Parts: sequence; C-alpha cells; structure tokens
Amino acid sequence: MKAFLSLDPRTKFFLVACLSSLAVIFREIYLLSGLFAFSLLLLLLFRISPAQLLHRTKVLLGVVIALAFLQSVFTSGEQALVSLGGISLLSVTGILLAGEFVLRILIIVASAALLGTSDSRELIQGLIQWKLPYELAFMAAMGVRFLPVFAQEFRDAFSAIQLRGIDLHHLPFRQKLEVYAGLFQPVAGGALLKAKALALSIEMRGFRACEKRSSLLLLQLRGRDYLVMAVSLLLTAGALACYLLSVI
Amino acid sequence: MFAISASDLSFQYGEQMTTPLFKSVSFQLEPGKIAVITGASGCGKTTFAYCLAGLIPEHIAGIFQGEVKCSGRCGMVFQDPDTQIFMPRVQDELAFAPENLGLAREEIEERITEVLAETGLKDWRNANPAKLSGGQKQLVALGGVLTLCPAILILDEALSQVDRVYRKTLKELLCRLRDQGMAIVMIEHEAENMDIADELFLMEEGTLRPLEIAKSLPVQEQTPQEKARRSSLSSAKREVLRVEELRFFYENKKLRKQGAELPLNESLFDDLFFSLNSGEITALTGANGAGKSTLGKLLAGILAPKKGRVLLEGNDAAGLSLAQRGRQVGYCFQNPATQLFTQSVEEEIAFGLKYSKTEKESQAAITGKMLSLFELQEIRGSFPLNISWGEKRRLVIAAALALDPAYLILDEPTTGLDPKRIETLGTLLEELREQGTGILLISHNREFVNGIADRILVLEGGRIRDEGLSIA
Repeated sequence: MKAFLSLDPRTKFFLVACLSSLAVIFREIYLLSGLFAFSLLLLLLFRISPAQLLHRTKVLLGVVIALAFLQSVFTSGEQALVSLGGISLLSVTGILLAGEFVLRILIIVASAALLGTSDSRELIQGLIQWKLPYELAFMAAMGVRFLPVFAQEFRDAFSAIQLRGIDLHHLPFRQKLEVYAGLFQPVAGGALLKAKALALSIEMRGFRACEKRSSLLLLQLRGRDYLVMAVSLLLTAGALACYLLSVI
Repeated sequence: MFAISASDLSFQYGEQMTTPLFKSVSFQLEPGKIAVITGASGCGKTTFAYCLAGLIPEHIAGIFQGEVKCSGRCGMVFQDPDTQIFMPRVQDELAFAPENLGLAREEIEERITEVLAETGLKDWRNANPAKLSGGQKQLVALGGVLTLCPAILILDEALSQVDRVYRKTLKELLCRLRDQGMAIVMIEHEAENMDIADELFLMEEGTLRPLEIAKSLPVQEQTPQEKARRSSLSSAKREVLRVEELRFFYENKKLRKQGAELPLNESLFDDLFFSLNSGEITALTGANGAGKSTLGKLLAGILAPKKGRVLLEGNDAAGLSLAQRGRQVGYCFQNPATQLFTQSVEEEIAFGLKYSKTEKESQAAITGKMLSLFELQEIRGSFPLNISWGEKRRLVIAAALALDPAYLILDEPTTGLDPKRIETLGTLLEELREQGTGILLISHNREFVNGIADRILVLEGGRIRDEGLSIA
C-alpha cells in the first residue's frame, strides 16, 4: 500500500482524470455506484480514511445534499411519491437524479483526495514536468492553498469572536445573521491582503527574475507509475467502450 | 560607492492621506555596513523599507517621488512570517529563491545546507513551516531570503519573535554577512538588536535623521526586591487558573527530522502543574517551539488538553464554551491579524461590548477610553487589517481589555511596539495588576519580562520551571 502513496503526482493526476471523466460521463446510478465503490477502494489503497474525508468535506456535502433534494423536488417524472394538486413534487425519477448527482460529487471528491497524498510542491513539479508554464502551475497551487487559508481565516474569526465572550450558538437568529454577514467582508479583505503580502514576498525572492527556472525537486516516473497509468487507461477505455456500446 | 542609495524620497498612500508619510528623505549605505532604522510604530519605517526594496512604486500604489539605486540584488524579510511561507517543507521554502535564479541543483542544495546550518534550522529541514512556532517561522522566512544571496538585505522586525539563543546566533550571522560585504538595513524597535548597528537612524515626523549609537541600552529593570515589594502591594491574590497533569500533542503533526520521522503523538508537554493568580503578572518564556503559544491556547480554551485539566476559578473549564471562558480570560494571539474581524478599529473594540448587553452609553465610553489609552483615535475609522503591526497589536489588547477580563493572556505583546509604547503597555499592565487582574505574558523580551513580571515560568523540554523573579 505504501507503493500507492509514493506514486508520482502525475500518475495521481492521471487517475483523477480517469475517475472524474467516468463520473461525468456515466448517467446510470448503478454504474456510478460501482465507480464510487472503486473510488472507496482506491482511498483505502492510498491510506485515506473515507470517514475522515466525509468529516472534512461535511459542509460541502451538506450543500450538495441540499441541492440534490431541491433537484429531486423540482424534477417532474413518473411514479410520483408526493404530489400537490396534480403536480408531482417528489418522484422516483427525481430521487434517482438526486442520487446520481450526489454520487458524482462523491466520486470527484474522493478522486481529488488522492492528490492530497502528494504535497503542493510535488504537484506543482508534476505539472511543470508536463510542460505547464511554472507561473500557471504555481498560481494553481497557490489557488488550492488559498482555499484552506480562507477557511482558516473564518475559523480564526469565529474563535476570536467567541474569545470576546460571544456565544455564537446561542445568539438570537437575527444577531447571528448580522455577525455572519458582517464577517464576510473583513475576512475576504484579510485574505486578499494576505495574498498581496505573499505576492510581495515572492517578488523579493526573485520570482520571475530569470527567464529559465531550475528545480531542486525532479520527479521520475517509475515502472509502477507506468503500470498504474496503463491499467487505468485500459480500464477507463474498456468501461467507456462498454458503456457507449450499451454492453453495461 | 554605495550598496543602496535613496535620494529625496517622498511617499503618500493615495489621495486619502493629506500629507506624505515621509518627505525628501535621503539615505545611503555602503557595502559591509549594518544600518538600523527605528521610530514609533506607524511612522512609516516599513513603507520606507518597501521603497528601498523597490516594491514601491513597482507593486504598491501611491504618490512616490525620488530615486533608489541598488548595487546588486535586494532581498527583504517582512514582519509577518505567515505571509511569506507557502511551501510544504522548510527545504522547499529555502529552495524557492535559488530556483527562481535558475541555479543548478547542486548549488541550490549547497545553499540550503549552508543556510539551514547558519539559521539553526538543520533539524527542521523536512518539517512543514506552517506548523512551526512564530519564531521558527521567522527563521524560515529569513532563510528563504538568505538563499537568494542578496547584496542588500532588508529586515523588517524580522527577529521580533526569535528567542534569545537564536537571536544571538542570528546577530552573529548578520555580522558575518556584513563582514563578507553585505549591506543590511534593519527596521527595529528592540534595543537588544541594535548593538550590531554601524549606523542608526530615527524616523520621526516624516524625516529620517542619524542618531548616535548608544553603547549602553536604556533599560530600566526593577530589582527583584523592588518587584517583590510592588507585587505584595497589589490586591490580595487568588488562584484564577490552575493546570493539573496537563498533557498535549498535535495529532496530525508529522514533525520529520532530517532522515527520521518523529513519532506522531510526541507530547509537547506532559504532566504540567502550575497555577496563575489574580493581581499577579506571570511571564512564560522558553525557546522557539517549546510550546508556549500552545500552552496559552490551552489556558484560553482554544485547544483542549489530551490529558489533565485546566481549572478556571476552581471549576473544570472543560465544560465551558469558548465564549464562557472568553468572558473571564482575555487572550491576544501572537499574530494580531488573526483576531481582527470587523471593518473599523472602533468597531473592533466595541464588538464584544455590543453583544454583551452593555448599555450603549457605557459602550461608547469604554470604546473611547480604549481608543485614547492605546493612542488609536486617529485611525479609529481605518480597516483593522490595513494598519501597522504595532497598531494591530495595540488594537487587539484594547479589544480584550474593553471586556474587563479577570485574567489576561498576552502572546508576545511587545512585538511591533516601539519602546515608548512598550513602556506605556508596562505601566498599563501594572495598573491592571493593582486592580486585581492576573496577567500571563508569553514573551521573549527579557528586559520587559524582568522589568514587570512578578514570577517567571520557563517552559523547557516539556516541563515548567519556576524561575522566581527574574531570568538571566
């Protein structure tokens, strides 16, 4: 299993691309369920706890489930389960569509989690060695880094508010809304100021000083990387062929 | 021949400022010299450093006049290490600059090894910089610029969170770099760091004037007898916080030393016992990375102990929410920017009062008092994250004090403050002590700690040592 963790980040990118593509193309819930089961297996092979992953993405999943529910409510279809004045509010079709949507997002989240087993420096290097310009790869990695920074800003702000003696959980709804709404601008502003300070810092460390950049880290694809990529490609191509030819 | 030369520099942050921050300022520094620029917080030292580094007018907008000439590459280390660190490992952070220069891998490796050894970061090569202490982060930020091998090095209070032992090593390193021909500009408040200066400047009222280098530092420390007497004069002490059998470790902390990985759950401290009293100023010191800030967060309730307990006014604090604790224990983070969340300085101070059912008249009175006490009136309408580090520091202390806590924990409260404001802070803390407030100072500032603390605790090797009235 350690072999999976030490796979080249490019191999992981390849795996993610295969899984995500199939998740987007497949429309049937049983196929998506199978793909999801395969994603779970991959998570275990990469020593990622699915329970922990669920916990870490619970806010996103909450939004996804809410959206799925709304989708199921507003999807008209046969076999209405709940109807109002002849208008179907909840149908089997709607529930199936919602289930597909949730599964699709879960597969994409699970496959993206595989990338988390490489650090941001390795991911940048993988992209660079795929001939992506350094500035773009660096910006992409910084963008990814920016999300947790933004989340951390919110967490810090919530801790700071509570340290001022304010129990957010027990505030009346109106006040709670006022606090949350008021937080957005300073937190977003703070994150932007941090991003600006970071930009100044990298300028002072010679960013774009030379046309050609070198790298201490050099990634090397090994036999197992080629093997995993070949197997992934074959499986994806096979699954796609079967799907398009209606074999599955 | 000067390494850096600035002539007739003036700068004003846009139209909203009515006068320039500084006007017609000239400055020259030869290679192989260290210049220290000091001055009150908010006087424009950092902005001046941005001009010297070329960030103004290139990257920061404003009305700029004058000219800056550099004889070589210029590197700058900023005040806040959190905004300079972005790589997952210390090694990658140090490699970033030489990689930008397109150097060969062997040379990059050589520079990293050298800088790791010189900055004392050798054991942290593979550690995640984000997980290091404030002082260690500052070392990483400095290392990240040193691998650039600049001809001119600008340090904006870059040693403020570094402990004494490392500070001595770093000062020796700066002297070596100077002897090798590097020109170094240090923006500094702390007298302790000024003794390596060849030239000393004071920025004041928009001008920069040379100062004579004082050989002895004007530090007024109280004698232990004096402190004992003053402490006994303060109101009757009672135990506010008590720590029993405290154990803590960061669960996901993979602190990998070079070659070997440390166990995941290695405790930062084990079986800690101590108590903190009202009407007493206790200082907590220790080396960078010893766990001082973590201990402060455990006392405030931001972190939960893995074993043992924290008692607040005799009751186990585990059952209290962060807000309930916050009403009794004020806490100021090491990095003040992390606890500012409103749109103006005034709102920031009034925020806690607004939601604590304090009457509107009292809210206004307390806010006004704090603005005046911490000299924040002139910037009362400013966006808190846009003000200087020193002003942010004063603001978070003001916001915590506005709630009149029974106990106050201040993590590195003197960083970014000029000597006058450190003195004012000291006087204020002494007044609070007289009124019965207990204070825990987490600080590296030996002069400040020795001058004010009634009791000094040293955190070392996961244990607390009570040093009594002063540390050597």
